[in-house]
Amino acid sequence: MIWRLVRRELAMRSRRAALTGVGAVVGVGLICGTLVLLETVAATAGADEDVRQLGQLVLVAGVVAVLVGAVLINAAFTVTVAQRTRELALLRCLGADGGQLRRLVGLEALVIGGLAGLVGLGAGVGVAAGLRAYVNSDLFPSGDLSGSGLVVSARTAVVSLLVGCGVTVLSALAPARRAGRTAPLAALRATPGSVRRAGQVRLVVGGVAVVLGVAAVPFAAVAGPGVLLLPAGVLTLLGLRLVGARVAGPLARLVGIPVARTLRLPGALAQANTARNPERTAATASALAIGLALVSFVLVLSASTKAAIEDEGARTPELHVRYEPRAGERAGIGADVVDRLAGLPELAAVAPLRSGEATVAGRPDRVTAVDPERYRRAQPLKVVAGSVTDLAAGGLGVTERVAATRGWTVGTPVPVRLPGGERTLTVRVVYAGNSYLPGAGDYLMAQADYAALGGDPTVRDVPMAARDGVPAGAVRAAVARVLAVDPALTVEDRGQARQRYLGQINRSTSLFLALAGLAGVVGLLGILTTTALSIVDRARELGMLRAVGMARHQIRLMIRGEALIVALLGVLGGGGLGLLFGWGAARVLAGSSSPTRFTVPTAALAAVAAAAAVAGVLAAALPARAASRIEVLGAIATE
Amino acid sequence: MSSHVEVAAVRAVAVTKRFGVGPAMVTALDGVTVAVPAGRFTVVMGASGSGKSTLLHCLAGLDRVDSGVVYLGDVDLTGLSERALTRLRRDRVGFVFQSFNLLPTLTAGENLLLPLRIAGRVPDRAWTDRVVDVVGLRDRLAHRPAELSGGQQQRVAVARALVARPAVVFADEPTGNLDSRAAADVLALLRRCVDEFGQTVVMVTHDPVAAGYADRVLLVADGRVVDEVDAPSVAMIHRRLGGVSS
Repeated sequence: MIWRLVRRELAMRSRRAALTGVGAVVGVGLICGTLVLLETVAATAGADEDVRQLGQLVLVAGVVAVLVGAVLINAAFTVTVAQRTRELALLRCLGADGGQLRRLVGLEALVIGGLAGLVGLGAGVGVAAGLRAYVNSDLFPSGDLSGSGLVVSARTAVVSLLVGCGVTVLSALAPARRAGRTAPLAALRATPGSVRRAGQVRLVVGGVAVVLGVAAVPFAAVAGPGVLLLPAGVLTLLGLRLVGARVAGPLARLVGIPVARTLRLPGALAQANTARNPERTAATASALAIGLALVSFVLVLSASTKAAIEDEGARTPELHVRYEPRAGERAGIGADVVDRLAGLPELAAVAPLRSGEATVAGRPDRVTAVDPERYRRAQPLKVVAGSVTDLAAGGLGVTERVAATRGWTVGTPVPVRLPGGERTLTVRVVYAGNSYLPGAGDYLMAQADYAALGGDPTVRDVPMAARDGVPAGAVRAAVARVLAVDPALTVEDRGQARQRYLGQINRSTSLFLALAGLAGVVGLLGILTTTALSIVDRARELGMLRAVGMARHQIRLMIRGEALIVALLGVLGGGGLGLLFGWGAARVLAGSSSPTRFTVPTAALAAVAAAAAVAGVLAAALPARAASRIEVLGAIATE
Repeated sequence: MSSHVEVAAVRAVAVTKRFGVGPAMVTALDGVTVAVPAGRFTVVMGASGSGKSTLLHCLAGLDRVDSGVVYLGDVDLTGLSERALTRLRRDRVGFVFQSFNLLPTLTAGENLLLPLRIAGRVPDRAWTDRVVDVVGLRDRLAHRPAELSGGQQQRVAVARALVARPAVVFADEPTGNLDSRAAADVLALLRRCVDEFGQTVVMVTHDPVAAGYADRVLLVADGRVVDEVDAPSVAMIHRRLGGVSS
């Protein structure tokens, strides 16, 4: 019996089923694409670090895709069950128990999930092929996957299908449970899909989760461990999902005020409609919000990292030797090269840096050995306390970060062990470190002490300063001539080093943005599907509006207004979360070896917000058209 | 006073039902004690807001009472769990509502057998055939509700209520959405169910004409049963109703 009801439902309301399945198709597609790409990476001999990193990135994207896909499917089923309350209630009156209704909705989900999964598999292989082409093209910094064809294994297919069906059924579970609880008397009420109020327990649990999650951000940023941000993010998202239905109504009314002002009657109706159906509004907005939260998080973190790189620009040597050894080669920068550089009349200072493994006050780390006098002239170090020239025998230099975390100041004795022995050095200088740009590690010591303690003699970098008055081009040319003897060596000036690092940040940002953007696109699909579903279910109401004289274009405006309000809610929620967590992550990272300075990329965020709002309205264009074409008489006769 | 001994199919004893809280509280049923005789056509009448629909919902186990006891046969509904109530609705009770009785995705025939399918029971073919003949919809069984008139839809709903051989069929304003001719068809059908199958039927209505088909009429006002009339004429009902409302 249940099977027949499911079959009829799917056959007669195929449009509704298809719209519900869109989320599952996208979810399975992204998972399948992820797996295919991962296996392809694994099968490609000699895949380099960049490609492996891409694989990990794709895996993260897959997880996000499942999350967003689940929200999307959940939204679709929520809409469907709300509208089918009367039918389900009638079944309850005829003696169906809660379990049968749950099985009905659950089985429907399974069929939709399975069918959508098959379509998603095909889409996923397409996604993987596209990404492989991207990696093989010149747009991708390095590495390629042409060593192997696309690997589509049976395992990939089975896992994708299982995950797809699983997510679909799980997403449908909550609405199905609600269906099971449908009161028989609901069948007798005139209006279907009456607003359900979220349970008190749900509200309290969700509220506590949100408060804890949000409160954990400043805590993690200032005091606690930074890893706390991850569970805090998950907690906040889950909490918002729980309280979403309750807060979406008032929020939609608020956000809808300008919409109602500008669009007049259709806008006011749109405002009322989104507030009237908070469950749908919340589910749709949250699908979009996840994507936007990711996008704004990535943008904030990227801008904050770039700000830190810019900060370091001034403390970077004018010129330095960039040493890029090929695999297995560890010779470093040859002594003859250093000598010839030191002899160049174009240069005012040449300060070879040696660095090696050491144990500093009990912790393994790397120390950098310098000639204090030469180093002072070649490296524009930002000194916080003490002086570089004091580094002479027995002195130690540490970065602000190390000094802060270890509680050291100028004058603190610190035991340093190198392969040839141990000696207690005294902190003589504290400086701002260079984490991205060349020139300074976390610890500096005098070359004489370093050599005496048997430190690794390999020269790995050579900061240089040009003599005043010599044209930059001439300096570079002279240095380049010296470095020509070894293909592993190149000269790089301050601007180039900065550009190189900014370029790297831009590349990884664009990769992350592409993935986060994908989540945003899925969110827009959510607007499309739930809007379309709501129109199928509101046919009578729309027909009535037409009957009392609303013009087609007003109906279109109303539907677009609804989409705009939902998109704005997604933008505000997602952007807010992204900013909050971006701030938290930037604060956490500020004291790390990849420091950041919290910066809000206002223009980029505004552009993303505007694009999302516009895209939200565009996503509703087709449903809006369909809504405006509803026939007055036909719609009113629909039961 | 009727001389024969009546067996009650459904009984309510001192049933009270309130809606809302505080100043907005409405007492829908105020200590109602009533018995519905088995194998008869009982009609519950009253003005809108009198509590007649609430009485039907409580008698049928669709709604819980605040105090008092409801017996269906010898089962105390007030003591039943939700699960047991569901089973009871499935096995012992049939419903006909004012509207939206049929699932739009199923054909008339499939809607007819829906309660049996839900219960996992095998339809008794001979009985089903007889019900279909009485209802007179044999040539419409393959049609979907949208292809049937309102009267035909209600007749399918009546047939569906009968097909599981329930102890009681409850009908809530079954003719409320019909024109007078279709309404007369449905009422005659309910009357036949009682006469031919000995089916117990309880119907809520505000239409005095509909009451003319009844064996017994219960008049409800302000949450109480104010009058009981056996085998009334329409004129009598009008009179009694007038007495109630004045």
